[in-house]
Amino acid sequence: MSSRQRVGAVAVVMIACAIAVSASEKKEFNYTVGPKASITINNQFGPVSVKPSTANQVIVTAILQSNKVEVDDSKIGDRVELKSHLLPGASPDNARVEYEVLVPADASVSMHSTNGPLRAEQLHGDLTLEGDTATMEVHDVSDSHVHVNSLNGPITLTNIHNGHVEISSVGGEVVLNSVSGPLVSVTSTSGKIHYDGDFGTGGDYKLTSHTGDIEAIIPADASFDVIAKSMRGDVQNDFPLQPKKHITFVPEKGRSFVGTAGKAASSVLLRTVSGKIRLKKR
Amino acid sequence: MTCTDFQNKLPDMIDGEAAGEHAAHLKACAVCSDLVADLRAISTGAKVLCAADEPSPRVWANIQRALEVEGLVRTPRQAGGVLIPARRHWAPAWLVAVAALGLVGFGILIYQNRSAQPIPVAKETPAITTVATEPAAVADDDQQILAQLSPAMRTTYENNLKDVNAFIKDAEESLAQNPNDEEARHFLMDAYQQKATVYELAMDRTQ
Repeated sequence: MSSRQRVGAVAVVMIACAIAVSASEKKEFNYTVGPKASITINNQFGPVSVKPSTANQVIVTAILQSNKVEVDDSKIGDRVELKSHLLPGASPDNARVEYEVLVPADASVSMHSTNGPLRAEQLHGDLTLEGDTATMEVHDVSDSHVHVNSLNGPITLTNIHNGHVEISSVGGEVVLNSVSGPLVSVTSTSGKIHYDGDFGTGGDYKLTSHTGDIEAIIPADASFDVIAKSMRGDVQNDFPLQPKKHITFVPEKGRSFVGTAGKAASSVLLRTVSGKIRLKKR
Repeated sequence: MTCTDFQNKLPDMIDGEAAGEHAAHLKACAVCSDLVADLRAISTGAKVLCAADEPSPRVWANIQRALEVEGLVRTPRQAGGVLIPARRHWAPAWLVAVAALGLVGFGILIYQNRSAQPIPVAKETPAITTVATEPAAVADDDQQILAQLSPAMRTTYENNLKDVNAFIKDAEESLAQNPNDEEARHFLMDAYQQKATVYELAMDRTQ
């Protein structure tokens, strides 16, 4: 390529970038809300990221990809709603909106996006995340109900304490790192479920799949009762379990196991139709 | 000795007496002694039932054929069939007895219904009928939902519905084969919950 051609190529790229930048639009919204406000963000295409604000403010920054989409907002009492409104000619590419949202840490947040990603961190209000293929990440959340519904997007929850966690995923992998609370329930059809944590204290943990494998990695000092069953897959237990004094069914070698670790502080149920189950010591 | 150790030896004790440490555990553990008492009662009842009401081999063959037609059992791959399963060395005898009793009751119910009038089994046993009757309705519902989605999303949802329907079908078949199995019931509930999630997401997309 000659130097003239190179200059031409660079110019074309710069012009394209300039057009793209000029086509996108940045909008900001500010609201003052009371305690335990409710925030809903419906974004058909594009990411939503939610973090805590420093005061009782909801601060939204939305970057709109083109004029084929606009943001509808409303505030009624302490309920704030934002919605990407698709206009004629909208497509997944040109109707993309990027939301950065700061909310009071105790706010309840509900967010939806087809392709995401969806992220929430350092909050302690209730959280609902819904998406089709969106990657979903929630971390450093406590004292919250965390509900996640997904078709195929990978879901990762990290450092969730005292959570009431319910996840329903058809095909996406579900990864839980240091997730504990009174209820942790994951149901997946074909996605894998991976739990790395200590099953907390006094919690009810249910990990269920149809064909997806289930793996739990537990520290040696964890305290729980476990029942693991695979109707057609294999089960493997590398964790030193004590036999339970009373059991309601006879385990079938290779298909199920039952046992107790420590003082049986939490109840753990791992079950799958044809996936594999593996319980490992960290 | 733990309950697990004891119950692993349970089949050998149903028709005989416990000895040594098994006898000591049986005496000390109320749960295991109740279990043994129940199983002995079932075992005795099964013998009486067999002597009094054993249908002819032709009845069994008809029941098996009907179950296969309904799609509730698969054609057996080995001699002995589904209704007269070959005993596996690891299967506890008491489980086989309980399963056989359940199957006998289920089979007689179906047989009586069929001989009284030619109505589908589905009408008498709603928990099981879904396997035989639901696919068409399910397909209709699925198609209605899919028709409202954009073409770009339709394939994704179609594939997910296929997976979830397979989950439901599996769970229904398990429950049909083991109507008293709590796990199978939970699986079915979970599978339907998954389907509800897919429908909910799909409806959100159509608003």
